[in-house]
Amino acid sequence: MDETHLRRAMGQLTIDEPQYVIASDEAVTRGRQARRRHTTRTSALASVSTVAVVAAGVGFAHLAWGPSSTETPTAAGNSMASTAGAPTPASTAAADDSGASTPQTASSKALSALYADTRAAAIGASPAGIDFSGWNVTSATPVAGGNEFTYGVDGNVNDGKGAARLSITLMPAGEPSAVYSNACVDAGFVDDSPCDSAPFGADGSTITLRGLSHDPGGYAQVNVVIWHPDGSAVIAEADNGAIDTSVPPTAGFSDGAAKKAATDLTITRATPVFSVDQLATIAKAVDSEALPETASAGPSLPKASATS
Amino acid sequence: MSAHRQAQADADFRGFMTARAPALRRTAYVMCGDWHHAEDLVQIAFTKLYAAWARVGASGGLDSYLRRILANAVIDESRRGFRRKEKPMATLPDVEGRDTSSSELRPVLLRALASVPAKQRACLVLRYFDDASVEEVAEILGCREGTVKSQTSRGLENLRRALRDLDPELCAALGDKPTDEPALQLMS
Repeated sequence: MDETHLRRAMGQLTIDEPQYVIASDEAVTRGRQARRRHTTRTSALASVSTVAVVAAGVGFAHLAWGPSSTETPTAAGNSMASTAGAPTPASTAAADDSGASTPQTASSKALSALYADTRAAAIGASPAGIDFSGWNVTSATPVAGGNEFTYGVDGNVNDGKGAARLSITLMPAGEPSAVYSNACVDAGFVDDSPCDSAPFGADGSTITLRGLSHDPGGYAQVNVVIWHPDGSAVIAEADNGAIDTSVPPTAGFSDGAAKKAATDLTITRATPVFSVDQLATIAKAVDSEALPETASAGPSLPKASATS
Repeated sequence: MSAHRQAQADADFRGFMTARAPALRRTAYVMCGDWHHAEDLVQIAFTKLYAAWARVGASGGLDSYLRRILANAVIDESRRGFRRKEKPMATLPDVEGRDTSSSELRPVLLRALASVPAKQRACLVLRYFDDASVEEVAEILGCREGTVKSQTSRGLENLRRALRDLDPELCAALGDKPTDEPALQLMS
């Protein structure tokens, strides 16, 4: 086979191309959300690495660590997920994910502890009377081009006026370019919404509050970003729609339905459950109580290499 | 960004996506062998492109950016083992009276491609399906031209070997030489 044969043969591979409906609206909506999240790296190469992993499966591992769940945790595609039995809240803080197929690094903070700490901090900082039983989806997504994971807790909370999504993402240290120190300079993030960035502590950390944004289709969101000079960060988002948290725990990353269910929002109310100020209170609590210390000072977020 | 400028940027993006998504999906399909997955990859690539639209657009590298996302997605998946490298298929087609320009070739070639390591496969697809130059492939994959040449050469060897293993007669019908020497020639 020479080059000509190969070109011709490859050219024939797509002659049965099925019809294609180009979803540009979806790309715009999700692109806006991605831009706001500030996990887009400032270099093209790093952006590629991030999406590469996202392409492999969105990075959602549906777990059931919460006390209200009856599901069995599973390693859904990403082996960061625990395969051990659902621990009680009391045991999660101390338990490592020993049931996972791959070990944690010695310096890692166990995912179960991250989950418990994040959850406790968020609930403790929230107004009373909000139901967090649906806030039990975790995500562990490799950071662009590196060996660290972002870690997040996602799901729906309900103040009695309709369940809606709350998402909190913890960025590991060492990725200072992954999140803007002052997100308000990003027009895409601001998107004509009120935005304010201010110092947060004496070490140069910042906190950014972006008020209610409105996307096409009726989506609304408030966003808070706490950024530290070592690159670690807390990103909190509250939406006016709910995600489907009933994704089967056995759903793999190549399961399109599972991915869609885990990321699509169904609008349930006019505004998010939390105001931007309430969300800031939650983000501060998570930053204080759940975000691991930097590598030099203590444990870090789990390493992606532990799962490869 | 004002609402008017945002709307204009969105319109530009939608126009670009409409123009480029079909070709990118074809490239994705040849790389991954699955139309649905190819669509997912393309959607993700354009979502990322939207988030970086102003920056990437200003640099004039939109196509390279998209193809880079795509190639790295395939390479990374392979590295992490999220997806099966090969799809189970029915028995290979009978060799008698075959027409190598027909659909008979496609499943065999797709299966052979799937067995080629991901980075080598990306080089092959970008070079021989997308008609990208060695220089362009190096830019897309973020590596040196020498690496592209060596990866392409190894990829060709592996593809040829896979084709011979899967279907030697079809391989011969495509012009492969029945010797141990590399039958696929690398044209840099």
